[in-house]
Amino acid sequence: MKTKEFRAMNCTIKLGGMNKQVQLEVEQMIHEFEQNTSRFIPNNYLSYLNNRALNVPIHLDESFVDLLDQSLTLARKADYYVHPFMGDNMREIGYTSSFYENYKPIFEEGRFAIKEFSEEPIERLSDMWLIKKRDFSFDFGGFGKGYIIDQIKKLLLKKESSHALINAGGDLTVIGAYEVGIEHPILMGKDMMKLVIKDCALATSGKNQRKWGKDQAAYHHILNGRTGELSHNGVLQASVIANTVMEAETASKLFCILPFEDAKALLSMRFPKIAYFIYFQNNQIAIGGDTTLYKRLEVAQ
Amino acid sequence: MDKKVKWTIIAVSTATAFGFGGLVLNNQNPSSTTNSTAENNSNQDNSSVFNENQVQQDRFSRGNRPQSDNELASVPSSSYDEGSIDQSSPDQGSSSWEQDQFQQAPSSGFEQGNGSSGASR
Repeated sequence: MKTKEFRAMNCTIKLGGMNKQVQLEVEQMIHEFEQNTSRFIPNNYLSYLNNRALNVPIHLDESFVDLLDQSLTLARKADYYVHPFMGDNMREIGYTSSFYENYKPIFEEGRFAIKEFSEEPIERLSDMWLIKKRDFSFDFGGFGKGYIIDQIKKLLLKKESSHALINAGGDLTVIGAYEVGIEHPILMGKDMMKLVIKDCALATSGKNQRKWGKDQAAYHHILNGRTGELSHNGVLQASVIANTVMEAETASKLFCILPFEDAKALLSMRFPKIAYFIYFQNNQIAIGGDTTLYKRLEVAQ
Repeated sequence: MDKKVKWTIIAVSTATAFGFGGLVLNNQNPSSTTNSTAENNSNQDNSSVFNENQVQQDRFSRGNRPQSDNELASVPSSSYDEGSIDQSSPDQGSSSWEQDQFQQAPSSGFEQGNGSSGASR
């Protein structure tokens, strides 16, 4: 079966191991999800939520509840170094539209940027209702992309698929065993490692692609959720293998935010079933974690 | 035991009980704070207990290995029906958390297939 490629969520999506009918169904799911949850699409469901007043009950769309719940579960496990309440922080650093080559940032006032995270800015009244306790904007970012890929995998497993690949711009999951690669963050377009994974996910976060500058200052899109500040921890790129893309994405972000040993301490406790591949800014790489999650690792010369 | 001592014991016991009750209540919804140790523990996967004695052999190699290349050449697309990755006991991780392998980054790279993971684009 031929691999299908299309653009969505500001990246190239590749679907392998599916017939045309399933590919179409999956493509539609992804476009629909993006339409509802991207913060770059005006007047969509996320925009509706972000513009609600404080302390007023807001009814949640059924499809959104699961995304929110799963994101919050992971944010709590990650001690809120990663969380989905940073829309205004992103605007403040100039990430105001879908990223493109030679990105020209527009810096907006981050009036409601969260600088010192102390508690979740929402209160759940019930499964389907919440109130905003303070002003903020949702930005699901990697949580969102991971969520929809994980949902598609569940759909394929229901259809008894035994072999499939879903790769959304480098965040991927597989059913069955696949040879996958980890891109070289300097020699982009080449993989620095290749390995075989089975029935799990691989996600990469990095400061090498979505970056821009203004007034001699360099910006990228990875922020410390506890401080709202750009992360500068000496890590250029982190790739993580985990059971789900959401977990892999969360863990890879943590490696890009916290000092390496601190990230390991937190992750070994909260996400012990991961393997990691870290590329430091001094051109060293570190490989560790749960080695049962992959086989046949090869590193380029 | 005179009455004064008895009342003191009752008062201390009651205060302790209320204090404990308060602590429990305070932790009913700890998820909304950053210092939510109780909640964090409840979120922990049971798989967090991994056996240090099960540290795996080094699976790491550098550069191309003819043996695996030959095997991979016979595999259509990027799929790999190797099937021997042991995930039969998902809660039993084997880990090198304490034993990272550090090395200089490679100065070349492999051709990318459909399963390449990198910065999103």
